[in-house]
Amino acid sequence: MGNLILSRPAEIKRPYYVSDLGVHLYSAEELCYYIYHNAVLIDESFGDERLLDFIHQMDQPRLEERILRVKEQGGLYDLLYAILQELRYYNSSELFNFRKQLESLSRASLAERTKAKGDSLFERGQYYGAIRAYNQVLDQDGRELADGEFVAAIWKNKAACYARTDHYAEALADLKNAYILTRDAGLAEKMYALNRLMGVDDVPEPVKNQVSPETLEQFRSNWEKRWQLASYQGKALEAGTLEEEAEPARSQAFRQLLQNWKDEYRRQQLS
Amino acid sequence: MEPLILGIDLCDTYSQISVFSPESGTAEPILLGEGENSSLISTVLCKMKGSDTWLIGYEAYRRALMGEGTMVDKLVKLLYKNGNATIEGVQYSAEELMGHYIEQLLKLPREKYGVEEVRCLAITLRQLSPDLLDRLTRACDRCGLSRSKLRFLSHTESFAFFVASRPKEIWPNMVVGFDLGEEGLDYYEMRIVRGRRPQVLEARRESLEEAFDLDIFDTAVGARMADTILSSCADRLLTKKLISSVFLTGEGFNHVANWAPEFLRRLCNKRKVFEGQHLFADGAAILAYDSTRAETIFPYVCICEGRLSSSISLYAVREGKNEQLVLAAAGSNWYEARSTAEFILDDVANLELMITPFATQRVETIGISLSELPARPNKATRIQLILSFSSENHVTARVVDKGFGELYPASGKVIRKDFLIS
Repeated sequence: MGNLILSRPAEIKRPYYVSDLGVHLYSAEELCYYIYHNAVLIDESFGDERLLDFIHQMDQPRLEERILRVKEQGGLYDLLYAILQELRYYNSSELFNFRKQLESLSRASLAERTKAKGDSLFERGQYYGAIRAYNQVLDQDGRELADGEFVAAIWKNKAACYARTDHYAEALADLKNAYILTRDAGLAEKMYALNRLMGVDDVPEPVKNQVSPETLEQFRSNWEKRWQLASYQGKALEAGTLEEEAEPARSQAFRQLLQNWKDEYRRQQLS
Repeated sequence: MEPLILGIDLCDTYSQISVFSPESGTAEPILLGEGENSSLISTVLCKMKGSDTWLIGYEAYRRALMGEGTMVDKLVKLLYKNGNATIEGVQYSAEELMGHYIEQLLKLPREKYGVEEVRCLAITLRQLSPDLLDRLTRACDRCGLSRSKLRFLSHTESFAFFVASRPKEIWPNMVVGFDLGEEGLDYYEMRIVRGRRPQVLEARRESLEEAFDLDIFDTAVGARMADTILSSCADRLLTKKLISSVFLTGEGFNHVANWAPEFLRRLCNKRKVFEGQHLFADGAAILAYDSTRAETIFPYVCICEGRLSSSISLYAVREGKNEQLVLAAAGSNWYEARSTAEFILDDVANLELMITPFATQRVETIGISLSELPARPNKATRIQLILSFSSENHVTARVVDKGFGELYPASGKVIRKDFLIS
């Protein structure tokens, strides 16, 4: 059985803005939740004046003092742990898990942490932010860049980000880079799909010789099935279900759905 | 002089207003003439023809009879029904009329003491209903009275506070009261239950079926009949009870010694008997004074009509510790017991409210399913729990989905549960 946690009343005039997620935080609970679930997204800029101002508005003088002390003596992860410990939003076993998560992050290299940040943003649908994180990894000079698997995974993830934001040519280019590193034949069908989205019924150059006419036919058949299925899934399904509503509720629901999609798009753009 | 501390006994036939003096520690009624009965002010309102002058009480009757104005009576009933009255072709709502009545009533102590400011006003009514109290609050708004200075209480509470404010010799055991007026015959009981900390003040009211019309006193035969009726009531209600004092109030008990020898003989059996007209208004003024103090002069849990007899609580984590959080305490006035709190859900699918009757301390649980709330990760849903009361027994709990800031916007979903408490 769970618990109810009494919410801390606080009048926050200047919320803390999290640019990675494009959201404002208005309470101690939201700050704790953000830290607990997004430690990988947080960098050294987190503990700046804005955070102190935010904590000050919460009327937590003890935490303010502790933050100042930790900033002088400790690192970012000590700061995150201190905040969670002081605000007591998470219980001791959750704090223990968080501590392990921080230890694992501190053991990871910069490239691994940045990739994890990209992966986290991808999971949240923050595709542009994820692309930026993956580009940062590729621009770094770490030993991980000698690991073909690691780099290929980044190219593949980047391609997925581009595909989700309808940038098919960029997605195809990144998949080609991943293919060059891994020679993974499984990427051929993805490349074919991207080509189809751009109106080309063929596999692109680096894998062309690897794909037999029968396999290509199989790709074609799979694509047709997926294309048909797509009209019953995702956004098409969201819109389709509204058709059953009676007027004027239907028009209002469509307007609301369109607004939601716009908000979603804006969030992606902002990230 | 200090701002006024007032108590109004608002009834359909007569009303009364008392002023509490912190210096003397007593409440005094505003008397319009000489004699005990001059505290009774008819609950009627008269608008003078062609002007915006409003009159109340005897003067309102007189001017209306002389044809100088238009009179409206039964103002409490009118407010209860949310009715209207048309005067000189203009329709006035019951709230407006009650606003004028209270304004004129407040003029009496203001003029007597030369003080305009009211520190606290407590209004006592025979029975409280949420709609009536809401309308009465709005009527007081019209008089420019701040809501924070306003209190409401039932006659039972007034009786209890009045008695408890008397010297302790008066209430070592049970104290009872009879209220006889145009609106009926009511019986009251009050006692302090000792041996518990905090001590419990129990009071109750019983509306007696034996009520009779006050016209009965017009003849000697009728008066004898009234004496017989009241005597049988006393036999039924007072037997086998250890009673220290008896209070008689209401215009029906005026000159009681002249017409009710048998009834008084039964009452005066090793008991103190008091007769007075302004018991409820004084009780209200005493409560008004008490609510202006940082520390109450009544260190009791008051269990009576108008007060919750059970506590409503739940377990919640505060500052990392799981503790019982009381949302509404037994003994609080139900009209003021509305409470609101916000919680975060940590793996909670059901809200469990614990109802603890003060008398038995036997806990009963009321569950509220939260399955209708949007699915979100753990610790990412904030709910607002609002408890409101439509009487001392009827509770409405509403759970409002507040989302989790911009991370998970609120859906505005509201889950409502109505339940009874003993």
